[in-house]
Amino acid sequence: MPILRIEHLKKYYGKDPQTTVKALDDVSLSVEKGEFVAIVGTSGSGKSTLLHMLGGLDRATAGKVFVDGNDIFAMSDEKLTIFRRRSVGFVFQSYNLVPILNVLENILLPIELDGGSIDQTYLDEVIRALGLQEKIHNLPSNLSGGQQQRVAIARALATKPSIILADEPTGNLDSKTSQEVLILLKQMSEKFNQTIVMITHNESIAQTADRIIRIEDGRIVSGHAASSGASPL
Amino acid sequence: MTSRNDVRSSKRGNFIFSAILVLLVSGYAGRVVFLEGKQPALTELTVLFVSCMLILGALWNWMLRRQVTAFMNSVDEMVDRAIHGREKLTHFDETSLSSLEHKLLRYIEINQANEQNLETEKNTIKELISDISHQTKTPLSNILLYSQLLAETPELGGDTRLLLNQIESQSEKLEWLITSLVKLSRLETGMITLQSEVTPVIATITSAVSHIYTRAENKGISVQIACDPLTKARHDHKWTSEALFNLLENAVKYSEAGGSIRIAAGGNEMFTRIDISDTGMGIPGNELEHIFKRFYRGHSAREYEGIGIGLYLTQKIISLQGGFITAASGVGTGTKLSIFLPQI
Repeated sequence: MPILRIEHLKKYYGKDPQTTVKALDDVSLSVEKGEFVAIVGTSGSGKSTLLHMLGGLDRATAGKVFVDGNDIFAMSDEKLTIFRRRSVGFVFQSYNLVPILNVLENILLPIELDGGSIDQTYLDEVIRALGLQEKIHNLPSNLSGGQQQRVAIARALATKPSIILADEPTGNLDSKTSQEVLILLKQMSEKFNQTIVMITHNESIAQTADRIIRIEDGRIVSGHAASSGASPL
Repeated sequence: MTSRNDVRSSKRGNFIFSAILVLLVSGYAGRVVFLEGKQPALTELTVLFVSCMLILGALWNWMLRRQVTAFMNSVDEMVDRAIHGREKLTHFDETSLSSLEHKLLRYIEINQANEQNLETEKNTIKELISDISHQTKTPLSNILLYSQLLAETPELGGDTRLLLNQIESQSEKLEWLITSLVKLSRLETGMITLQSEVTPVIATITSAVSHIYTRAENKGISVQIACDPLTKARHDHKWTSEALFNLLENAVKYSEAGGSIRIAAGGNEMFTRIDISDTGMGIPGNELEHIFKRFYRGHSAREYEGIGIGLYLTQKIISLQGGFITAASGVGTGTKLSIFLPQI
């Protein structure tokens, strides 16, 4: 069963048919558990809108989004907030770490907000896999961009969400560090069987993903289905 | 679904009960005042009675809550104990908690039994693999030997010789295929564990290069290494060398005579990167994402010897060590494969 299913999703801005902007125009998509999917498109193609819909940050004009079997647009705002906290991990371009909290506190923040208990073994594993064990008492301001993004990835993984949404995760990083962060994202997806949807405008960045979905003018132009296996000999 | 509804209706129930309580209390007080008029003694008594009732109600509520919290805590403790296989919290008590604990343990037992079954199946497969590799070795080397003996017969015609060469080359291919597949499945099933240590990568690179150097020289391909002898990475020397060898072998195979292969290594924050660039025919963009798949062969690679398992094996070896491999290429401009190995 797919962990994420989008059915005929539409997002229109403006009521007047003459000037309506179709940010998303009848998008259908499904993502299997553990998949690492890249959504590629130029700016204005609707990829950010799509990501906002998936995370329940914005509501659609028409269509449905199911995350782990839950119809997220059928939830009240209050429920949606709880849903986001428990089931969606976000990784942003600008890291969005809390500057006055140290690395460990930043990672634990979403768990503590939810009042849940900490799975120490899992947490240690995540921190080790992301190479942060020596940095956990540092403040974000003392870390490099790549390190800060690794903290953000650890924070997204900490709650074991159904899905991680990454919005241009390497947008602020140089190419060497970008590559490292992407490799780590990919490895996390494999190691913890974590579903990741990443948006980017950079084709070479998208190569790391299991599947590339291209979006243009609010429509998916390629990558609906999981990529086919090896060609016959 | 029912349990979710229960939570909701219990909230509604709380509200209704509080409302009835407030209504009763205020109704009683109002009724007393209405019946008897304002009498200080009676008012005092009423107030005392009503407040006693309210306090008692609040106390009762508080106790219930404490009981529920205590129950939840013991359930939490119970689940924790069950997960970590510690001693049971309840023994054979006549409580719902005890029966819940037994159910939970049963569930965990069933899961463990399933796991054990899977393990047994995995072991059977492992045995099968080593049997296959063992049993095919002898007939295969016999085929090779007999065809070589046959080739030594002086009175053979040209056609026969050609067919004999075919038999020989196909047998060699089969031998290589079986060895690779056995290697692969041993890696995949965890029969081989990699011994990763933080050591300089230069030794590993040179040992891989030494295996292809003659072949490259025969083809007139130059090999350059740019690597700081201090650059280290956590890796298994033998297997990483094999992975690098596969990549280098491809580089030699798909490069024209007179080309060059460049190996560069360097570290960044988390990974040590080893680049292998060639001046070969390159890989078209649409094939790039498939090249690490088992038995995948590029369209223009079909005319070359090979079965499409080298890159897959390489990728397996690298990822088992916590590393990663990427490819960048353009048709006619050559291919660059980058291996990333963890530094710690």
